[in-house]
Amino acid sequence: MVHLLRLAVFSAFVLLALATQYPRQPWRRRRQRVIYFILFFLAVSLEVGLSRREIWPFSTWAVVSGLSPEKITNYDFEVIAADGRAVRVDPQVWQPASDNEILDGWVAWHIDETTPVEREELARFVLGRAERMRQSIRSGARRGVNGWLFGPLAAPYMFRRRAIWHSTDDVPAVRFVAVRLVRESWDVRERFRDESRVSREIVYELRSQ
Amino acid sequence: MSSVLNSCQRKCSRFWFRPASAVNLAVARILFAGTALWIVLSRPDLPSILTLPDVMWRTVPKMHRIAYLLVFNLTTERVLFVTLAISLAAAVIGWRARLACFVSGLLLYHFAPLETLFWTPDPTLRGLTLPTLGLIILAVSPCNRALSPTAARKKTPMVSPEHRWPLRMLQVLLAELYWFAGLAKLRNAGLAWVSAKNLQDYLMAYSQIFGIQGSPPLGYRVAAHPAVCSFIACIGITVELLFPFALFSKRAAAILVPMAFVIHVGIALLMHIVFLDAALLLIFVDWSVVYQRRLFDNADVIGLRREDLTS
Repeated sequence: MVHLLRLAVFSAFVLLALATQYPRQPWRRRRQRVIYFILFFLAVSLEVGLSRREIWPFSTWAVVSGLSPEKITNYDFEVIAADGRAVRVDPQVWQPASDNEILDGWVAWHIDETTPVEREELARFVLGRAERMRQSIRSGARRGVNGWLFGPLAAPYMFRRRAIWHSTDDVPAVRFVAVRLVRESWDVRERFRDESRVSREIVYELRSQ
Repeated sequence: MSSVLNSCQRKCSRFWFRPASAVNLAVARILFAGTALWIVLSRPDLPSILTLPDVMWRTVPKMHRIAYLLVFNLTTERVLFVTLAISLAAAVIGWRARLACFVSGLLLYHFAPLETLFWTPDPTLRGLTLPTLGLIILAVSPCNRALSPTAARKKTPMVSPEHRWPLRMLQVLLAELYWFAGLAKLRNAGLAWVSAKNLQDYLMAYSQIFGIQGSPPLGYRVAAHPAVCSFIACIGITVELLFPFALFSKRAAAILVPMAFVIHVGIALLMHIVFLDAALLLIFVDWSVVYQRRLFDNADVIGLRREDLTS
């Protein structure tokens, strides 16, 4: 039920906003209603910010506010072509979803709870998306969907991973036949000194028939 | 005691209701709607996130979807998304601006969480949080009295107390963003947040997750200098904690607003975290001065008498 609080608070915000205008009266008579609207806005936004309880769209804005983790775990998918060439999945494959929301969000939080059947469902989805983008790049068509209007000036995602697949050289000439989820972990300072200090584990792999 | 209260009341009244130009409010409308439109048009197929595999949606509590009214089928969502883009465009150009802002605000509340909902119901910092609240505020303000096709036809005052409070609310929204972010750092990590080691670790970690390729990334190069890291962290948190002063002092705003912008550029380059609402900082600029000067310069061309403008 606590999630419905967001809807209730936003509804109250909208209704109080409308109450500043309706019924239509001269400004001097509406001023008191404007004051109530402002007080509600201040009360809710300060409560959220100071209590650090998110009631979106009123936000705590607490991002990158803790101490930086010294050890990192990172998930990524790799796809393997029929000729055996393996490539990391390009972030644009996920569009319109963000790679960060999928990999650092859903996969990191939920992959360990999934059943083999669910993992297969996810893997088939990734394989299908990656193959479509491979074909698109091989045919010289545009890559992700986000740049359809603004091109490179399209709004990026909050966390910006580098694109990997730029040209036909970056993707295999033959179709993808397998996908695997890779979990990498490392110590931030050790990797800073030596880029190779990353441990790598295959969480699971699926080969298409 | 009563004199203190009276003085406080006068100051509050002056802060929220001092007469202001319609131009600043209209610029705020363009900035909020324009930012949201840029993001919406950069995610043209956002409703298709609903077609992510069932395995991903099974982990989402039903209440999360109900809270954002994400209960329609894909076709309906696509129609609503096109409506959102059209209403945002209308808000930018000022055509039926208030209605357009209202519709946009409601639809942003509906669509913004879609980007993250499959793992978190809070889409903070994905760029649409400020426009969602901001456009509702603008919808109940006279944001159509300038920079809109109907503005010239209406005989409405260009300076009014009605123009001040909505702009103030938008500025408070932005000031809270920085202040809360600064407070959260102090409460979650204390003064250790400004230590060189902490920022070094952040720069290294984000470069490693998002940016490494070939030559050392910029984040690595800065992380190699602890004193620079400590200085950057101190400046960052100081700007965040002091930002509310931009609400009360033009001089403070003239320093803090450009510094906040520079910090966002630095964070994007060093940590690969992009703040999509950076343009909204421009609501702290007094556009009426710029606008009036342009009108004054072009008065002869557009058939106005200079005396009209100065009066």
